[in-house]
Amino acid sequence: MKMQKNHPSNNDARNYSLSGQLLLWLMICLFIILSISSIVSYSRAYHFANLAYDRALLRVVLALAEQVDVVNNQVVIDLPEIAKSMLEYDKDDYINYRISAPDGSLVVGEAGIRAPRRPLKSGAHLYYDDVMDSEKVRVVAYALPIINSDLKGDLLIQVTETRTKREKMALEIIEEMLIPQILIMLVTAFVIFLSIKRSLLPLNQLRNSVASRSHEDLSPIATNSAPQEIIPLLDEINGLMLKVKEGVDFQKAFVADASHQLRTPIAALQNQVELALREQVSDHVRHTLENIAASSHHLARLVQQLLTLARIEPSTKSNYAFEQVDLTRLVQEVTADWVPRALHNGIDLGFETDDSRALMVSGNAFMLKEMLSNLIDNAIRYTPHGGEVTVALSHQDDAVLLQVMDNGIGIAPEQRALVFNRFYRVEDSAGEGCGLGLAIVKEIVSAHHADISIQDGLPRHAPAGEVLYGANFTITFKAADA
Amino acid sequence: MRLLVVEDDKILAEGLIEALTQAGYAVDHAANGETANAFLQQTAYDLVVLDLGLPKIDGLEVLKRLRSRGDHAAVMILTAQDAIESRVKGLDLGADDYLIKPVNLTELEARVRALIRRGKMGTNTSLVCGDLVFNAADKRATCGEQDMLLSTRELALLEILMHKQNKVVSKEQVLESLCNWDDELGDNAVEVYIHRLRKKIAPANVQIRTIRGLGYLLENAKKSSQQ
Repeated sequence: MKMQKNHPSNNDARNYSLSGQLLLWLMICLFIILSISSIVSYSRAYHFANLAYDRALLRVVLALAEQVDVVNNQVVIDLPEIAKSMLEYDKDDYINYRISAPDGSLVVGEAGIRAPRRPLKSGAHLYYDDVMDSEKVRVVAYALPIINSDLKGDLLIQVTETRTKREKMALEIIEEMLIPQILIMLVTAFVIFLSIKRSLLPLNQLRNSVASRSHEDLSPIATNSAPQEIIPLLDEINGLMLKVKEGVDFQKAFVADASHQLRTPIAALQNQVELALREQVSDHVRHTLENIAASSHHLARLVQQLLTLARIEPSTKSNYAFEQVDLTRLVQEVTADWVPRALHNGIDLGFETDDSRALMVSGNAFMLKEMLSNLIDNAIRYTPHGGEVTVALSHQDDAVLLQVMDNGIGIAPEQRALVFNRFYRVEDSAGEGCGLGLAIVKEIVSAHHADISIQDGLPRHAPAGEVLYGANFTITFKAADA
Repeated sequence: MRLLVVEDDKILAEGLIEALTQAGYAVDHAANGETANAFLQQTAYDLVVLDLGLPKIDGLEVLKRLRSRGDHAAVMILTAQDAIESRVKGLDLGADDYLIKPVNLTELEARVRALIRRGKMGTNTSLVCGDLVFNAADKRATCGEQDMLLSTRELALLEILMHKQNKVVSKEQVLESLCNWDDELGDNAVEVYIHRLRKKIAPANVQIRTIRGLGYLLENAKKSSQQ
């Protein structure tokens, strides 16, 4: 009947974590966004830095153009040696130049520099990338118009620069930008992680509240503190629980109704037997009638206990309210009620307590009375004439112990766990129990979050001289703070 | 004495009627609420044994109508309904006793006798146990024709024990009954009074048992020795 609380571990691989998924997708999106933004800002930064270097290179070209003249249709360059070396010297890069005549022929400079792919308008300049001696270079080409000369056309001035400092700068930009980007990403990831944890907190609380439920608690799950998103799910679950509860309630109501309906015919049967026993009949008929009377009593008791069981089971409509109960008083009253029965059976029924104060527990008086009645009834049934039954209350730390001890036939240790099962009866026992009394006791004990155990009870001297022990039912309650 | 049994179960009704007839009462039977209501309007019964779950008119309704007519017949509810609410409702509507099925015929007869006696004489009855008779009105205990010589405290103690005979009377209750005369009594004093009373009433075939941890119980000594 008890549901297994173990997690289905074989399914773990297939189950995924909502928070894990959320975190993963948010991180992927964040990564893409940050990558795009890095690439865009890098390319913008690189573009402007490149532009600055290009302009510097253009100034070199223009400075070179200043020194170029056409004399007698001859291109003349007046480039002092120092300027030349300054032009060609750079900390990181190699700078080369070439001046070409309008016909494209080399006037001065590096022959390896190729002409631009498209012709330039006169006076215009152009930046472009090229490869020279299998090395990437940046090129500035400038078309210098020839004036005051017969020579027509433009002089083409080209300056190339290797890309070392540009690449170095690119690396610097990347470094400068990437570190804060990564930091931002980490911080964001952390914040997202925290907010996911926080947002999913209600789910955990819900999980805990469901996990801590008894398997018999079919009341709906409270949706007022649940997040909107899972309310539809909870509503569905609650709807299902309601249907299950209706089914359970119907069954219990059926048992209760059936028990009620059985009472009248049982009463009729009992009364008829009683009347018959008042007549003068043969011993044989008397014996038969007495058996019928005993059976009908047994039947009446069984019906009564079925009804009690249907009533006390949790999640029924008639749930009993819990309150502070003076256990001392209750136990004394119930025990006193059983004294006439005990005396009738020749049993010394008594009460003992080690605490003069009233011991309080949180519980339902009706159920506790029913529980104790069943235990005393049981003890009287299984204790022979002349025996002893003692109901004891004691206080231990923050627990209250209620014991019902007898020196009757006792319960063998291997049967102690079984006697609480419904309809379980100790083999060839003399009592006329119907096997529900202790099941009722067990239900009530668990409804009170108490524990019940069976130990050896009071001693009894067997005719052969050895000492035998009866049963001792001990119920441990948590003491209520009075 | 005229009694009415209102019960729809034929065999149960037959059993009740037979037992009550044997006990010397004139018994009528109504198998449903409507008939019962009609009978009760025509005849003045001394006692009605009333089932609650009845065809046509519910037992509680029958009781309600009976009381609204100002009829003071004793009403004993005999039903399968054992819920406390139903019990309270029945007693509130004016039932004198509430029994739950199945009930032992001997007990039923005793309760019928008690209700009829109460109806006749009010509550001022003598309490009897064994050969001991206690008259609550003039606080007198007699055994046979002889007055028993008991002190006022012993009489007070006897009264509470007689009222609750065959039931446990707690030490606190005993103390309360004695404290009316003297408020400086300890547990020990209770035992002393019990001991004295026990000796004095022993000739009347009555005994006071000490019930461990709970109190005292007065019973017929002859009855208990038979068992």
